[in-house]
Amino acid sequence: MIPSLLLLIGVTTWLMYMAPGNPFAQEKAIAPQVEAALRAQYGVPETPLAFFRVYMERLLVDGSLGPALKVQGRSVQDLLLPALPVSLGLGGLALFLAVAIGVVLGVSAGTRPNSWADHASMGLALVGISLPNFVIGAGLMILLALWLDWLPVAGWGGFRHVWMPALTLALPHAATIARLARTGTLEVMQEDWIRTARAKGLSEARVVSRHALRVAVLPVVSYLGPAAAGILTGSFVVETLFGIPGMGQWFVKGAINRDYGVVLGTALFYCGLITFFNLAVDLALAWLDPRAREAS
Amino acid sequence: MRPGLGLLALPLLALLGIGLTFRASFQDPADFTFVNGTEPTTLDPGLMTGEPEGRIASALFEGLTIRDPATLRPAPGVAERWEISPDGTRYVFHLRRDARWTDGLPVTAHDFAYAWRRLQLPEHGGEYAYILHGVRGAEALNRDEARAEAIRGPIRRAVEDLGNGSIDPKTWQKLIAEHDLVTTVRGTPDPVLRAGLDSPPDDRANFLAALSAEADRRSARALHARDHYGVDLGVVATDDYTLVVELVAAIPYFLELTAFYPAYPLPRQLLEVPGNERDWFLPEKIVSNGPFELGAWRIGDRIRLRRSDTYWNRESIPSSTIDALPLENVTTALNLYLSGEVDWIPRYPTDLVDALSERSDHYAHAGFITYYYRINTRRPPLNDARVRKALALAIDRETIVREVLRLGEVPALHLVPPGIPGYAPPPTALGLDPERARALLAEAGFPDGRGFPEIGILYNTLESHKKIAELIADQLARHLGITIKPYNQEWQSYLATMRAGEYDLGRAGWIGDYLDPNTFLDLWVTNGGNNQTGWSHPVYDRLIAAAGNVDGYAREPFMDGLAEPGKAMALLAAANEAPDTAGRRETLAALRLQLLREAERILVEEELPILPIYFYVVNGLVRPEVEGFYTELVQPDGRSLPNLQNLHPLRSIHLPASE
Repeated sequence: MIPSLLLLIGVTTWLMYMAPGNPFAQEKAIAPQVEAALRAQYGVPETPLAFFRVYMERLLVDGSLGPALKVQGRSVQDLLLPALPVSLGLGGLALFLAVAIGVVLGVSAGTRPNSWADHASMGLALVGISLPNFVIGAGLMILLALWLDWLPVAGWGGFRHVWMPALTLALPHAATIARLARTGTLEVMQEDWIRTARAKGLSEARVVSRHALRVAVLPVVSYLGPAAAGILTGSFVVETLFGIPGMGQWFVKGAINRDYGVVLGTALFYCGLITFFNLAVDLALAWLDPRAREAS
Repeated sequence: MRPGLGLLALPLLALLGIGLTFRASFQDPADFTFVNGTEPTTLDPGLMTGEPEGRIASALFEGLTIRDPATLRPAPGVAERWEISPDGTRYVFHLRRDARWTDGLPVTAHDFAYAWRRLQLPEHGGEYAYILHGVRGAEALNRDEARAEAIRGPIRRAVEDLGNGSIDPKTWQKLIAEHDLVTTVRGTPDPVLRAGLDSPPDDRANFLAALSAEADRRSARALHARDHYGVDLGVVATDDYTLVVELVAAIPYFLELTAFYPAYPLPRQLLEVPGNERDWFLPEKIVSNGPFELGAWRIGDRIRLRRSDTYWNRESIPSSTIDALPLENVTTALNLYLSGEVDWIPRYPTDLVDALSERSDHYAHAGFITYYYRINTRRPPLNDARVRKALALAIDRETIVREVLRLGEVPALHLVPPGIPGYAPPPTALGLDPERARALLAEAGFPDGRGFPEIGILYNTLESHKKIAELIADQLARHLGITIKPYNQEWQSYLATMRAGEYDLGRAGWIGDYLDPNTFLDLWVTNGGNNQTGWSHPVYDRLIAAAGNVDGYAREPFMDGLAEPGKAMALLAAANEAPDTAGRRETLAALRLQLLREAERILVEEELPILPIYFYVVNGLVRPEVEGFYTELVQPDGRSLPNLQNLHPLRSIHLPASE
């Protein structure tokens, strides 16, 4: 873990310094003595190696991610921490919606292959996968806010603001999950032990919910790890579209502004999240799948 | 536990987490809500440079003067009155005694002297320091070597006074680097002083000690003056309520500058506490003196301003709360406006111009911004003025404003936007003239474009820049037979490429800082930080310098290189025969504008290191019932001017409560 974090910080620093521009450049030229003063103040030396040293020292000695460069007066953690519950909450809700919608659609399609329900839900899934989320978001905005006037257009301040961005985040993932769940269900329904369960006289609903579902969602669970990391760190597109103070904006703004501290902070955070979820997924799979348990 | 239960716990946890992020303080809507375009980088007036920052700063703070919201003319702010010396270089501001900081302390002249000096200290990093470089000593203080001079100068002067000699500048530069009394004395051409060093050890020690003591006394005086009175700067608080400002030369628009945020006072009581320098403006710390105070600031969500209880003129402020949203997405901004959640959006998606400009709540007027291309004059054949002029004459600006922009933008045939009172831009012949363009190109050695190398147009990634660059490339190809390739880079890369001078033609835009031609013309002096074209012209530099010190020009006028020497001479004569100082000042102000007009003529008639393309239009949507929001400025003489600078002070804006 430690060497890979060092590598991440090192490579990211080097890439940032390779990119043209610097955190202090803007349209109006700034005098060289002013730039020098700013570099000294914020701890942004001219070379990546020197920056790496300053950064590691700050991280290990003060436990700080350093100052943000484009939002003055705040440290990188000041920017990321308040945004964290927003993105985690919104992402968690979106994740739940994605799983609920996806599994219901996928399983109902998988248990009745080639029926109209199957074609309809797979058609929907195809649309969900192919539409970019700014189109989905704009469509929801027009439908739910401007025409029906059920929900506010954008902003953050009450539970009414939550549903549209959560749906926008959820739908593409719901589509993928529906396809995975359908494939999983189709395979499971061919298994011997499903035939056994039916032979015991269990109703079809019980067969699916008690026996098939557990195994059918395995591919969904494997997919959830990386999806969760992606969905929980927020989405720049959805956040700018709906004006939400979440994490996603900092991934993009950090890069555009060459705000080195913010770029490294978001990279570290994302890396931590990915590691955590991959571990969680491995544990969940072991718990869900008797075969994996026996192998270990 | 069954997996289903775990899954059901997830949305509940999520909603709980979300609930924690709502702020009670934002639950009630503000009296007036507007879209500010982006998150302010800072709320420190000495460090900010942008429009979104400026809108908030002018609500939180108040300078010596303010801009009257209805006319934008300077009006009393913290200063209730002022006197100006006959030559226009000395201002005495008398501060009102009831101006207060939000912590209850009075706003004093010392707070202004402190803020103006801090702005000039290079270690502080204020990018707008140059706005106040007209103040005596400001530029010297802002440049490192000049500060060294302020400290070491007394030593040199002590040596010079005692020896009546002078040290040649080259030697002096070397000595400054070493800064040591003995070498200083060694370097003086004065034989008597040098002999002092070679005298017997006792005498020599006494001599050096006396000299050193004198130098120390002077250094200490200089430092003390600098640190406590800002005397190295021409800004002195003679008492708590009197501020004396001395300028290098008269600045006709100086009272506008004192209303601009770099000149705002700062709460010394807060800034002098160690550790506050970089974050004193955060909501939990900030102390301010304007009509509003910072109620709350949540990054990515909103800034809430509340009417200040300590503001001396709070009865005149109609809105009690104002929200500024940092939304960058113009489509979302428009949707919020259409659904009634915000009351003013200063921008909207350009594709919707046709549909929106029909609405009654739409406004559009001329702006103080020019869209132009820089030309890299270091690269042949662009180093030939005939080639640059051929390019300028082959651009069909009418088509660009009609096809791409469609808001009534004005094709730019010169650089300074129209509408500055008293300034007549030079007549130029920059309109579309393909025939003359081809003749010039042939004269430069490229008949019908033959032999002309392929050149590029660099622009930063944006749809409208792309459309314009492609149109221009096409026009130049058709009219001149040359090949032009537009290419884009993202913002930071584009800035770096421009600064490094690694381009042929490059898109640029400039927003004027104050309502005077100088804000557009002083960019192009030799090696100016924003020049970036490699262009340098001695007469141009001289004219800009002369306009910066018109009294000096009146004493030692020059006429070579002027296209209209008759006009300058007539104004000079009128100034010298003026019956009183006021008349003289007025004539000299006109002479100054004439000098700037001459400079602009060199820029857009003869030399063209830039290709002006169009003057911006400022546009947006604002609720018709909003009061105190002025897109047209009615002047005292009854004339109406467009709100060129697009300044809408929040102090006057309000939305009458809907019935």
